[in-house]
Amino acid sequence: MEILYENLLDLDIKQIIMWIIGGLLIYLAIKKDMEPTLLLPMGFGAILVNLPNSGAITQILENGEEEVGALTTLFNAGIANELFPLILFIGIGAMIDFTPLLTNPKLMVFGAAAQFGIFFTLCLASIFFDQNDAASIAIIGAADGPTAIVVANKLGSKYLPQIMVAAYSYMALVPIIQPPVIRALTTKKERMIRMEYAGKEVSKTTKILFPIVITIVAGLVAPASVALVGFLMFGNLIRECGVLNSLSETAQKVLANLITIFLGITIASQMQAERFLTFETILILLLGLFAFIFDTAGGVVFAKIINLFSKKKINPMIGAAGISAFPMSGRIVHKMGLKEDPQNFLLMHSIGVNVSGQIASVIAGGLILNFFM
Amino acid sequence: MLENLFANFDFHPEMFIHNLKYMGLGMLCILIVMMVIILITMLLNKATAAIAAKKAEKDAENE
Repeated sequence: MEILYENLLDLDIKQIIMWIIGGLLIYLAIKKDMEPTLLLPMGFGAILVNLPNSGAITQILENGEEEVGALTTLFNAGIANELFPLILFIGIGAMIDFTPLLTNPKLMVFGAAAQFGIFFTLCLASIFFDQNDAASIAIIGAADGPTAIVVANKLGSKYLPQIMVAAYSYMALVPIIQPPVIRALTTKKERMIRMEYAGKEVSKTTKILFPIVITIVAGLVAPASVALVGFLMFGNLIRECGVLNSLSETAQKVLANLITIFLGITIASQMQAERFLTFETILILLLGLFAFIFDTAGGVVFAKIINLFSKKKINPMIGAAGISAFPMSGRIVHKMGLKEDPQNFLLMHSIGVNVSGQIASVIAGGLILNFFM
Repeated sequence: MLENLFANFDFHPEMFIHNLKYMGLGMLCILIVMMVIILITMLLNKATAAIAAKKAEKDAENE
């Protein structure tokens, strides 16, 4: 009979708290539709690894032997060597259409400006954490899961699960985080600035050469980012070349979904109570929020500065779309524009900026690795 | 209790100032890289538009 309850006696209150956190992530995923592809597997994984002596993760037995768990095996196979996030980037690259950006390439500066939150959070985080951990926490501001995983892993951060939870949760919370920041930094008159869209045609040659050029330029500047940029642009090249439609479809759907399933539940293998329930976790979540706020502020303020010198005014809200939360951020800016003026269609501009944010965030990740690796 | 909470922390406010240089350098590098990409993209657009225009001219002549 003892066999029925002896494991129960090893249950810790912290593990129960992690069940609640896992349950909360699952609730947010299902009921609130917040990044369900990641939050649900992470939530469920958090419950799996916080059962006493869970067989899902590697355990050291009484006789000193190691019993290898499936999630630990998956972690070593795909997260510890950054393979899963890089393969996911192929799928993401295949999903991105750079046309709105290629019709107006100057929008890319806003993608650059909106990475301000990463570097400002680096300064803030370094007050409390060592340099590599601070840099890993700062990369939450990239608003890009694979970039956050790769950078945090390469820098050997011990806070990878917290960084993942923060990155994906805040990506899902962009519709709540961004609008108040945008409204605080802009006037009604600025939010009503109309921007015309001249839908220029972009040649197929340009669409094919663009990912190759980005890879070379980014790789020369930040060699540590070659894997990130390269896999993203490879996915895009598969999409744009026009001769690999089945591969493009596979990358966008099957591959992306498959890796996403493994990624979420494998990251959760690090969400063990004794590692996760610490004051550092709360601080990391707070710093992650700052990163998103200052990203938004950086893009908006940069647009306002450009307006001081430019005859043709830019709606400063599009600067906020420069974070990598694609396409949510672009759509939020468009909706806010419509709210102020139902005839103001900012979508193509904001999506163009949003897409440039994807590129800029990967370059920022590469620069962070260059600085601190 | 507060002491226990902060027991694992070493506060280094001077690191904020130390990392400002990475902030400046990082933002400058990203802006420069994006400017280079903008320039190359604009050149690509111009070059491919010129080639397409020439091709259209040739096709019109042949007709």
